[in-house]
Amino acid sequence: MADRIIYKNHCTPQEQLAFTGGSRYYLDSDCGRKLTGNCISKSTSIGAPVTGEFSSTINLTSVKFIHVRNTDTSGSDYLLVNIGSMGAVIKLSAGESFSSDVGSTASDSTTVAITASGTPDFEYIKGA
Amino acid sequence: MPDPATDRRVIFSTYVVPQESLVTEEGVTKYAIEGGAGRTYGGKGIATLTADQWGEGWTSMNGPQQYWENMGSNWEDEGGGWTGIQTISTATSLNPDSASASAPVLFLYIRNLGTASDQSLKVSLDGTNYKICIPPKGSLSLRGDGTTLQMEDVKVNKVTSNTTIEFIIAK
Repeated sequence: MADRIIYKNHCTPQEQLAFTGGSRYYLDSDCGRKLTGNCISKSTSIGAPVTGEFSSTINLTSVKFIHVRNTDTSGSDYLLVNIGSMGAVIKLSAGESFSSDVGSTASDSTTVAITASGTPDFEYIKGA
Repeated sequence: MPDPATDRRVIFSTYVVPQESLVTEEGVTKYAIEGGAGRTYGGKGIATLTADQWGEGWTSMNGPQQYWENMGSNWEDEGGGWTGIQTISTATSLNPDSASASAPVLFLYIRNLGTASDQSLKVSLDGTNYKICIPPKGSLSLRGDGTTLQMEDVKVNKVTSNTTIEFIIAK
């Protein structure tokens, strides 16, 4: 029995145009379409999901895949994700998630640190 | 004359399916949701962007050489249409515009269009260390923290063989 992770990142860019009596969002004309990628992670071992309310920095090691979600449904508390010490530059507001393979090559692993502003609820899955 | 956009935003989401393989008595491999994870995972959000972006190149779908008015006196140099696809064969900054180099990245999306197993793409968010890997056919989406992650910090490079990408990098 072997594990695998299929993951997808999707986005819909939009622009707002104002017209007499209101305004409305349309598919962004600079992009012209939605974007989607769908792939199989390099991770072959899935850790147990972890949930909780953030209280202190979460440090993960030997990570090949990470999924982190801010499971708050509203409010301004957010999570910050720092991959491989590149800086805590990925922000997750309520309801948002980050899912990606990490490490510099197709077989490499790295560290992930999760910090926060406030005390948001979180869930994460680590793939190794 | 078209009206300029009064606002821009990106709706983004991730979807994760943890699976484990099972082999039937006939020897056929099938996949089911991994028992420990127990379900699929995902999330969704909206990143509010600046209405006026840093240039035509904020999406790969619009090439900086696509428009006549941007070609100056060198219009004759561009004979073909922009494909919306960028080839990655070396370390490449996704923001070649020096005027916006220190602008915070509010949203980043990169899709690896490579299909062969040796066409993985690696991504740096500090301009030096490549710690994110996008497998062939995969993609990456993230919201920047609004201060530390700046346009000049985002670079991509091939892992083994050349690959192609499409992207959005927005301030």
